[in-house]
Amino acid sequence: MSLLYDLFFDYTLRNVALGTLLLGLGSGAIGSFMTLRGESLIGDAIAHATLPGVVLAYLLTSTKDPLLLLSGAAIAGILGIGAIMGLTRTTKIDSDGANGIILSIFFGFGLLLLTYIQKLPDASQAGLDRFIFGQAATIVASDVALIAIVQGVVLLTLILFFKELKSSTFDPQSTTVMGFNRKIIDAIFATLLVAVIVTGLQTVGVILISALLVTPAAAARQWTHSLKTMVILSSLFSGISGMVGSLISATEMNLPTGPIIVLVLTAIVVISLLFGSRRGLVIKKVSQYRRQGHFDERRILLALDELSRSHDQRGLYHSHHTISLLVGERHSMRRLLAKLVKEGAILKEGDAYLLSKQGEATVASLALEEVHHDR
Amino acid sequence: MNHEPQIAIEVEDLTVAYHHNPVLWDIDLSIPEGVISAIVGPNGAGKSTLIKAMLRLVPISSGTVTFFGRPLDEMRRSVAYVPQRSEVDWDFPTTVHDVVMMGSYGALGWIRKPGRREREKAMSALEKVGMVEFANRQISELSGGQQQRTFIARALVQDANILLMDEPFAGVDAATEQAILAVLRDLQQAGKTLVIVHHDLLTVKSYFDHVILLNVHTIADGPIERTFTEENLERAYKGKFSAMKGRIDESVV
Repeated sequence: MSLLYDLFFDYTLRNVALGTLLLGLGSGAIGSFMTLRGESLIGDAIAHATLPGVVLAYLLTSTKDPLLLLSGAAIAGILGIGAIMGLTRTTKIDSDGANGIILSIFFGFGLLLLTYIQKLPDASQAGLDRFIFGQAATIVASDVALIAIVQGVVLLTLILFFKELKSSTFDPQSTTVMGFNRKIIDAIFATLLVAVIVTGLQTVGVILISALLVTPAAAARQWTHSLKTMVILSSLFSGISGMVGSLISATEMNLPTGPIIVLVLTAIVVISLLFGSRRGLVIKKVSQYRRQGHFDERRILLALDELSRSHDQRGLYHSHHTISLLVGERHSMRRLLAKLVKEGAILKEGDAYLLSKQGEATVASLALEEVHHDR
Repeated sequence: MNHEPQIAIEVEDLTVAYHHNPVLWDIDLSIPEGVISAIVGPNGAGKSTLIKAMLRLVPISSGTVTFFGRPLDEMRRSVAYVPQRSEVDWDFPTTVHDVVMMGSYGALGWIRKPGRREREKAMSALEKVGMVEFANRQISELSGGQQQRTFIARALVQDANILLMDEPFAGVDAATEQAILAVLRDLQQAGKTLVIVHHDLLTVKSYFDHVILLNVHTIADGPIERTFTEENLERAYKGKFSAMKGRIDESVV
C-alpha cells in the first residue's frame, strides 16, 4: 500500500515509474520491428556505441547537463549504426560481424575515455559511469519530460510509417520496387532506434537497454499472429517491466535498475514461451496431442470399416486386440474407444466393437474428404 | 487495344558484377509488349540477377534499362515484381489478405493508410487466384503453392502493365502450376507483359511465346519458334544440354 501511496506522492518514485514506463512503451514497439528485420543485435551494438559520445560530450563541455550528454550519445549512436550499415554494404562482413566489431570498438573507446576522466583532478566527473548500468533513481522531472517527448515522437512516427515499415520488414525488395526508397525507410528505423536507446541510457544503461528492445518482442510474438497486436503487446510488456523493475530498484536503493528490469522481462518471456496463446509450448503440445487423438479416432473407424468389409458376415464385433493390430498399439486406445462409444460412432459389447450407422456415415464422409483433398 | 506492339522492356549494355566477378556481361535485349517471356539458362547464368538488375535491386556496373522507353523511376506504378518465395520470411506475423493488400501500398504512397477500396481490391485479387478461403489464414500455415498464389495476388493488386516474376512455378504441385498459368494467360489477354524466370525447359514451348536464353551473356532472345532452338540451347547450356535433349524433343514435338 505504501508503495502505491509513494507512487503518487513521492517525487522521485513518480519520476522513476513514469520515466521507465514511457521508455518501455517506445522501445517495445520499435523492438518488434528490430527483431522481425532479423537485426536483434543492432540495438545492443548501438547502445554500446553511445558510451564514447556521453563521455566526449562531458569532456568537451565540462557540464553534466543530461540534454548535452544524451546529444553526444545520439551522435555516437548514429555514427555507430552508420558504420554497421556501411561495413555490411561495402565489405563481405555480415551483420553479426559488423555489430560485434562496432560494439567492441566504440564501447572500448568509451571505457578508455571514462578511465581517463576519472584520473582528472576535478571531482565533478563522478557519476558518468551510471550510464553503464543505469540508475533510475537519479532522474528528475525534466528527464521524464525529455523521455516523454522523445517516446511520444517515436510512437507517432511508428504509427505514421507503420505501413512502410511493415512492408519493408516483410519484403524489402518488393517494397523498393513499389517506389519506397529503402534508404529512407532504413533511416527512419535507425533514427527511432537511436532515439529510444539514448533516452534509456540514464535509467537502464548501455549494457542492458537492448533487453527492453528484444525481450518484449519475443514474448509478444508468442501471443499473436498479427503485427499490430505484436507491436502493441511488446510495447506494453516493455513498459510494464520498465515500471515494475524500476520501482523495485528504487525501493531497494542499492540495486541498479537495468538488471531488475531485465529480471521482470525474463519472467514475462518465460511465461509467454510456455503459455503463449499462439506459439507457446503448452498450446503446441496440447494441439499436437489433440491432432494425434483426432487422427487415431479416424484410424479406429477406418479399421472397423475395413474389418467389416473383410468378413462376409455383417454385424460382427471385433476385439480391442484386433483393432490394435490394425491401428497400432496406443496408450490412448481405451480412452479413444470409450469416447467413440459415447459419441455413438461405435457400438460396444464386452471388449468388442462394431461400427454404428452413424460411424459408417462418418467413414463415408472421410472417404469423400480424401477425394477432395487429392484434387 | 488496336495499336502496334511497343517495346515493353529494353536492356542495353547491362553489366552486373559481384566483388569483381561478372554475373551479367553486356546484356542487350528487348521484350515486346504483350508477350509471356521466359528467362532460361543454366544455374548461375544470372537469371534472377537479370530481373533484379532491371528493377535496380542489385547495383549495376553499367548499362540502361527502360520500360516503355522510360527509366524505372518514372514507371514504378507500371511495374510489379514477384520475388522467389524463399526470399521472404513466411513466419512474419500477418495474414494472406494483409500481404495481398501490400500490393496497394505503391499507389497509396507514403503515410496514407489502406482503406475499404484497398481491402476490396485485395479480396478480388484473391478470388482471381482461388485463395479467397485462405484470406484470414496466417501466412506461416500456407503450402508452397498457396504462398506463390498469395504473391501473385499481391502483384495483381498493383495493377501493373509489366510483371517480372522469379520462378513462380518452383516447388508447386501440378494443379497449382496450371492454376498459376491460367492467371498468367488472363493477364496476357488483358494486354500485360510478363517476364518470368523459368527453370523447366520441358514446358517452355507450351507456356511461353517469347524467350531469353541467358548464360552471363545473352545467348539469344526473341519469339519462341525462332529462338528456342537446339542450337541456341546447346550454346546456352554448353554441352550439358545434350543429356537433356532426348526429353525435350519428346515434349516439344
